[in-house]
Amino acid sequence: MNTIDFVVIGVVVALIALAVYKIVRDKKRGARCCGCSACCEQSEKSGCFDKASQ
Amino acid sequence: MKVALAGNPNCGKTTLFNAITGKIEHVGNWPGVTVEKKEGKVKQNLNPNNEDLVVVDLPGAYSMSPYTSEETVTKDFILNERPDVIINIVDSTNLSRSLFFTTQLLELGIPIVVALNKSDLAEKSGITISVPLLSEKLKCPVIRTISTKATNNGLPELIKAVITAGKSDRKQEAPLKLVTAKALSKEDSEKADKKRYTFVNALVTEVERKKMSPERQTIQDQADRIITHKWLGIPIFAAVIYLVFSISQSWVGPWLADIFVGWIDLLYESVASLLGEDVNPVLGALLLDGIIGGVGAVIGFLPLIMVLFFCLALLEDSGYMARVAIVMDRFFKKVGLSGRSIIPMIVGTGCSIPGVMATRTIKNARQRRTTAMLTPFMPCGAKLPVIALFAGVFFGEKAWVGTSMYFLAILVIIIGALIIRQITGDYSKSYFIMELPKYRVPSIKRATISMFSRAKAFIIKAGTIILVCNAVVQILQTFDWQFQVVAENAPETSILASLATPLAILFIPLGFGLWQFAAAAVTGFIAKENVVGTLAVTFAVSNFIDTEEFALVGGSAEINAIFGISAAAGLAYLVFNLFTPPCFAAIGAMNSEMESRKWLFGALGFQLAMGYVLAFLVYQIGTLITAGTLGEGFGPGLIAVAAIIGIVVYLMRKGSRNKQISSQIQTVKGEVKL
Repeated sequence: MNTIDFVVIGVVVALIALAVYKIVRDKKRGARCCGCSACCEQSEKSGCFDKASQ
Repeated sequence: MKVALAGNPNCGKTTLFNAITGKIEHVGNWPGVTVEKKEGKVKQNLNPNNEDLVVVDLPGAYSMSPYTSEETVTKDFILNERPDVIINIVDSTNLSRSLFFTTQLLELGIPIVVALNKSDLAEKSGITISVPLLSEKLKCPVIRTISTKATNNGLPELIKAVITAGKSDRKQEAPLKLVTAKALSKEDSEKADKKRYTFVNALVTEVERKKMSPERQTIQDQADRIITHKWLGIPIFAAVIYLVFSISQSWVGPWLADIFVGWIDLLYESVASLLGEDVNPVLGALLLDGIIGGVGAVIGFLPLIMVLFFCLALLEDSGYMARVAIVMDRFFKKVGLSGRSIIPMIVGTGCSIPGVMATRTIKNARQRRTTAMLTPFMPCGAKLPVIALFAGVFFGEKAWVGTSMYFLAILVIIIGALIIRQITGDYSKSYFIMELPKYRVPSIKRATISMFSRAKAFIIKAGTIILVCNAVVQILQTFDWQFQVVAENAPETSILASLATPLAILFIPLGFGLWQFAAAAVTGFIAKENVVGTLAVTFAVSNFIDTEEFALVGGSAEINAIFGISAAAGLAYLVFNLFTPPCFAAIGAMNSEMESRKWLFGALGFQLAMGYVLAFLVYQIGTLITAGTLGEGFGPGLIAVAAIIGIVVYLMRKGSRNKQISSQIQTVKGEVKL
């Protein structure tokens, strides 16, 4: 393993961690999907969020 | 201060909501776009004193006696949450219809400010409304608004009036004093409604002056006579969809995609040269092929999707899509669906989730559940990259592939509805009445906003779910069960291949019995775009769009050879992915709208069966036509398809029998009563 390998691991882990963080955060906020349509990103009170979380 | 936006469907509530809050909620030139309430804060420039103003956009309602569930949302919010002020949006072009609801709102004692919306359209139609007189008669402020205009739109005046009304202690007076509909019997309620209509008609006669323009009416009516014609309606719809697909996938789309993919290629090459030869090949492949290549393959289709959404937004805004609902109603009524079912299906062309949610506008439970089950068959935005890829690889970007998928979806929906009606034994009919919006020149601005918000959503999805899935797929295909790196000439020993191979066997009669296709179909249940991403990763194709040959898939022959399946099998795979269950998120939406586990599992079984049978027919018939012989695995496939059809026929007969028994019981009950 050389320095470049560690850099690649760091980048891959960071990208995946960010993606998972966004998915989990949206799920916790009650989003039914991750960016499925215009409404999702706009408002937590929009139809793309579970009623339970409102 | 809580401010509710209430008014009839398609009076421009969401457009006004977007204009005063700066949000970009989905709007459409048809009734029923909003089915749940949405909240936002008033923009700073309209609210210079920074008052605490929270605006709630409510679904459209014709009266306080709700007929559909979204009207119940409006009624419940107004009665239970008691907003501080209600902005009652009134369509200036249809004053007499709008004011019925206004008279009911005025009786609640909550301060009302009437926004006389679409006043520019009213003016163009030769309608003049005396605002001071209307305000005096209704005993509340009336403000003329044009929510589609950026300036001189009456919105600052509207917000000012709202703040004044909210701060005043004065209870709202009602010009017409009738007891609220809640406390009345049916007979009294009808009498009250008659009084309301009489009041509204007298009021409109007093405040409104109409310059009748027979020519203008005739143009709109003549257009409707052709566009909604019982024989011409469908060919016109086919031509429109064909044109949209031609623009997005043959003309403008590939041109834009070509430029865009050049940037993705540049990124891929820059990272590859940065890593050089020193990087571990497994790690390099994970970053380059798994993440950049896999996500890039999906993102490469973004320009095509943006052009398509732009065209669809223009169609929606022009008022054409509402006419499609009328054209389809004739067929849908015959198979036991509501004409209202077409609205969720049109919404579903963007994304199945809001499409499924829009089914709540259907009152009949069986029709609502059937529509929720069938709506995901409409090709949504996530399925478009799959359509574009297979149309490009196997059929040279022909626009008819995408168009025919829409019409196949409609056919499948009609057949599905017939089967479900027979299985449930519910033959109830409902009638569809829809107020047709006026045709108008579609707004480029609104279409652009809609296009960019969907593009943003697409990129977010590619950067989250698709990225994670592609990384996992890359890892699973790199290692075997001993966690050793798979030899280059033995990819079938990978974890992914061993997991997908048993499933691939089931797909042999469908023409795509390769583990790569099976793996892609499974990841497609997480998000349909994953089909493209997984195929890119498993076949090691970092880019499906050839920049050098200036075409969607310039190297289609090359990719065709990599895939190693025939055109009939390619079409079968496309059909399989379009007509099997949607992504998990859409299944979740189906679950909440159906409110029945039995219906949900029935729907999933039905969708799986439909996808399998259709793919089998496409592959076997296609192979028979193109190669003059039946495809591989015909015998076992036929047994599987016969078993599926046998189960469906059994359930349909059982449904008919139950129906007969229940009608006999009804007859006996009737005789006993006599």
